[in-house]
Amino acid sequence: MTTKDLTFERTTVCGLDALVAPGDGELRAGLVFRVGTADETWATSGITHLLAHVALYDAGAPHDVMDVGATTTGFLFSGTPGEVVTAMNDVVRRLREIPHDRAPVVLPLIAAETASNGPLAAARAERYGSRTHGLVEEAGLGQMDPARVEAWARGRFTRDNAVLWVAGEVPDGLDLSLPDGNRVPPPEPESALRESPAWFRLPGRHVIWDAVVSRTPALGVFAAVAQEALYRDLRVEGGWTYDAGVVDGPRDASTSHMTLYADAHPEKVEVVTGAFCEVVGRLRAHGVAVEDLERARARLLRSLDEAPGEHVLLGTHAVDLLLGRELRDLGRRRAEIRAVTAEAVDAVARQVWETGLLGVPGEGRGWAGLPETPQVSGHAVAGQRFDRLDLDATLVIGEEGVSMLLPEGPVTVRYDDCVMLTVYPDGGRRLAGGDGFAVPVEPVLHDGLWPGTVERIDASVSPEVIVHAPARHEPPVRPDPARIKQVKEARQQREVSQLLPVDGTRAGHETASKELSRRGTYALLVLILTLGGLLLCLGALVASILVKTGVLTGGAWLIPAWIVPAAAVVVGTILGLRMAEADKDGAP
Amino acid sequence: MSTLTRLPFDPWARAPHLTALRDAVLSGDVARLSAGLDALKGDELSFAISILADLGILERRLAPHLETGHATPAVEVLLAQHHVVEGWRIRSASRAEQVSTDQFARFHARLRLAEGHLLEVCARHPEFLPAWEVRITTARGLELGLSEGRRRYDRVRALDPWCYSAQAAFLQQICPKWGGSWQAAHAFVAECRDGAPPGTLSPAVGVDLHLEHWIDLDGGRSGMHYLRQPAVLEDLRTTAMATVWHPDHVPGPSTATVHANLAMAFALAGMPDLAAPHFRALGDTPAEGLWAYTADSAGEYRKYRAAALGTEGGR
Repeated sequence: MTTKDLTFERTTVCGLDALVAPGDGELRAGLVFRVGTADETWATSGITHLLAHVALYDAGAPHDVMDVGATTTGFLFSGTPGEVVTAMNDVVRRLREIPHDRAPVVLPLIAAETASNGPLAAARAERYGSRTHGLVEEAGLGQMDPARVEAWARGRFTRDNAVLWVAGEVPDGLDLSLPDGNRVPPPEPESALRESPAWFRLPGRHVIWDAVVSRTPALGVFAAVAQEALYRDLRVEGGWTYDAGVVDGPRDASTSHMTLYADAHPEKVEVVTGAFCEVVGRLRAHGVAVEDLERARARLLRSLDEAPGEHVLLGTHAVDLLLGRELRDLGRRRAEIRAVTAEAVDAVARQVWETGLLGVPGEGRGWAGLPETPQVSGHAVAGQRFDRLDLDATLVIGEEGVSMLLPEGPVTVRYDDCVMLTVYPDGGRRLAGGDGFAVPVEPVLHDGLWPGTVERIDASVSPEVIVHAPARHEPPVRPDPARIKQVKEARQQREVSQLLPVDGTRAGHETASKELSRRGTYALLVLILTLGGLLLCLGALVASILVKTGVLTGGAWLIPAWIVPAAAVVVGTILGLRMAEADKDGAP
Repeated sequence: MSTLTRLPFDPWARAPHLTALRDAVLSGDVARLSAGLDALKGDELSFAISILADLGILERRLAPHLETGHATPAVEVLLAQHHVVEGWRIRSASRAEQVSTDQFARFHARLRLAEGHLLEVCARHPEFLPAWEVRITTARGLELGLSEGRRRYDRVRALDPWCYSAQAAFLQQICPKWGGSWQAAHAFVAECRDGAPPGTLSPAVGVDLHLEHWIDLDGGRSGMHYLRQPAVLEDLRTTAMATVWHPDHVPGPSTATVHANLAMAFALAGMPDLAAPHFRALGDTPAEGLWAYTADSAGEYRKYRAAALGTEGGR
């Protein structure tokens, strides 16, 4: 099968979709699969990376590489036709017959790579929580069993879920026999953000603005404009930054992630963040100046003109083919960039702003006027409560999930949203939710939290998410009595101070204490009124029976004897209900 | 000498010419407000923004008009400054450890609103000084750091190197109480004085710094000893001569602020004779200035003024 209007050939090799274009030197080829970290779950995260390492280990030349992305995994080869054929056949054979004994050897390599996860990974985790594109920690690597890896390979590393590209002649001798399967559509990303734009604390020394934008030709032009603006403001004029720029990559057929970034000297973190926000704010508010747009357009066209040939885009085409996007060759890309209007670039700028996630390395609590990303869940489950002994927090174990009540609000993991339940040999548990929040359940740090209660949690989550972790280096220990007392007092003090409307002064504190005791007295009176009324009603009932049976005589006094206590009960109940209502609203 | 009213610090008494703008705010007449603000410049504009921003009703009257997106930069800054004022009202002037978590949350929320508006104003009108001036204060409240505060002040400086109100705002941040140091604060004052054209108020930021030292010593006797040092007194005298008493000085709204601060510094140093001319210059419509640092600013002002002028002063 060939497509005439493209300057490369789309064909089939060994039953695989293949893209071929003339090369310019040694043979280069790639084998790309529609599978990546975003396809995994928290409990299996890292499985694609592990499999790719196992497949490439020992195969091919040292410069052959693999690249595991969020939605695609590629193996890249170069050399003489013979070298490429041997290496590629080796990799495919290992994907077919997985050498599981390699796993222990490659695991440390993977751990080292994950440890160097940068700001982009942090932004993904912040945006997506513990699902799809947020799976950047490879937390599941500790419990990869061969059966799981086999199943993953059979489902994803298949003939139909792969694209081969070759820059040069397709070499003889390729044996790419992979199992049949399906072209798996890219995962549907689900944002864990409650609002955007918003900011989050990004450890390190980069400030970033991460966004999700439509994949239009204007995206590239905007990126070039933003790159120049950042470089000019932060490096040339400010002199605070060494490296500033923009990176982008496809998320699926129609959207891309785009990240503006700048690095900062530790002493200049704040000023870099301020100037960085200024650039983003200017791009949004001001639109793009015509001269900036034209300069960016010229630069992009020049880079396309200087491309040695269609073969440099083959890897990009392979990814687009797998993601279900129409393929656009060099000629079409040039025409699209020439047609980009200022309005289209402004639209990208607005999208960049609206979907923005600002990563801030230093201090500050409201850069660009943005709110912080949620630090608490905003809702708690109902259930049995256990105070933490070492800090001002209360664990709630309920029917639907667990919550940790912190002074700033509750953190909740629902059982049906639990993506991983880590079980430690010392009895501790950690529940991670799909939205990125986690709740620790540590029996030694609570009174009355017995093994039976903790095991009930295990039975409430899906068995696939349970991970048995090795012994911890430093398992938690019960705090000393002095500390426990201190925490208890701090908790009581906070509970009192939370009754205060606004001022945290000493006078306000006393007001709150009085308020508490006033409320106690009030509640007691209501209780006496209701219970007393009920008791008197009972008396009236007995009296009525006695009158009826003739033991007592007379009866006119019976009417007030009923009315007075009944009224007391009604009034008591109404007052009690109103008090409960006021408590619920937080009004004193 | 006439008597002071019960509330001596009424900025409107100093600004009868701005009551038309106040009426425009109260009636939600954005067109008249915009035109009025656009006619003001420099210190006058900053002053008008600062007193109009104090009107509690402002947000309710202006916000609907601003949503249309056609507000002038001055009106945008006015609303932002209003958020700053309201935010600080929530926070109160207490030390950070006496401010509750909830107060801080609501304080920061207000400042974020202001900062969001101002980011946009500065993007569209980078030459509009009042926006940068207010952003010095939002940077401090949102704890955006010294270097960011400095960047914002530098934007002001590029537009007007001798803007006393912005310098006084930035001085707050580089004092130790907001994370700065005395060394940095003194260096900043030196910078504000170096090359300042005679008669500008720029050097008077040094008076603010002396009063910062006074409050840092919890006022009282140690505060007085600080202010009574010959070097400090000499500095206050020279500053007065170089600024408000200089023949080239063109009086503006900040003139009263500087008089008030000088009167306060001399009075607290126990030098009523030196304070007297400043009290006299302020007349019946004084600015509050840093008298706000005293527990009962109106009462203290009346007391020291009476002592300095040798009359009853107040009622």
